Amino acid sequence: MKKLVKADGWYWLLLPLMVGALYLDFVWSPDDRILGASQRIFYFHMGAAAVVLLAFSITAVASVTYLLTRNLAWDVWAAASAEIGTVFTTMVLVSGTLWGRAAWGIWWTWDPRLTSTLILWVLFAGYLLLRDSSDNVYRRATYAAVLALVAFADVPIDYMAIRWWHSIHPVVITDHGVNMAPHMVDAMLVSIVAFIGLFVTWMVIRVRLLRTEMAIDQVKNLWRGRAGV
Amino acid sequence: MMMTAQEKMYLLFLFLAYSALFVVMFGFMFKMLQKTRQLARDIALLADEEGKQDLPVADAPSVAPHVRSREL
Repeated sequence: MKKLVKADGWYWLLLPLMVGALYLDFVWSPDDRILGASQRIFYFHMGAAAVVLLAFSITAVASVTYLLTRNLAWDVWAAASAEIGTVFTTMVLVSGTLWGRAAWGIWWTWDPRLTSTLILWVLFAGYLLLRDSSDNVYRRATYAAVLALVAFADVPIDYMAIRWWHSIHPVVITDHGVNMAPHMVDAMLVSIVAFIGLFVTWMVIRVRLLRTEMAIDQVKNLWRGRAGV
Repeated sequence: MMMTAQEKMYLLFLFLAYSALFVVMFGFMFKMLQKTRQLARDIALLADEEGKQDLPVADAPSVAPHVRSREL
């Protein structure tokens, strides 16, 4: 097992999982009584939404830990997770727009859920812009961590929006379980697991790249210091 | 709303097309994983070397000063 993790061998387990999820989504799952085949957009939408929740939660936890410890390793985790979370939020918005067109007949409406998701995307896009604004890594990490926590406040609002306010967005997860046919639930769960696997892979790549960037900056500063530049 | 046999076939094609796309993407991601691992290893080596020794500053000319020049 250790060898599998060390040599990135775990990665190849993800391919059959993803192809399996695609098979369940496209071929195995039944049509919706009203939406027909366009129901299948939902599996991608839900998988991406689950990753958004996970990614921004990791960003929030890593940001708090950075503010407490001032260890830049946590800032790297927060940044990597926020970047990937923003990409997946874009996927949620795009797939939601396509599904909305099929289900409601409109591309966009200023519904509480849709609006809070768009705000979430804007907040984390701002977070990514802020990270490019300062060369001082510690100052940048502190500002970014504070903004990440402010932005994260929108995550529970986004989740609860369809329960707190009148919304045309369907409530899938209720107090009585998942509001869907059993076969659809299976397809949705496998999609969520496959998307989380994709997120883990991107995280591994991004964290390694950010660590390398940081180490190169350290070596460059060391050389500049010695050269007296 | 029931699907026709032709629509079902289209869905199968979509599944195959998306699977092919993901296989290609997984190939690229594997290359990225390998390259980032290599980068991490190289940078660790560089940092180790930096810790161990100073910059290689030449304290003597790279060419011996008494090399006989070519007679013109």
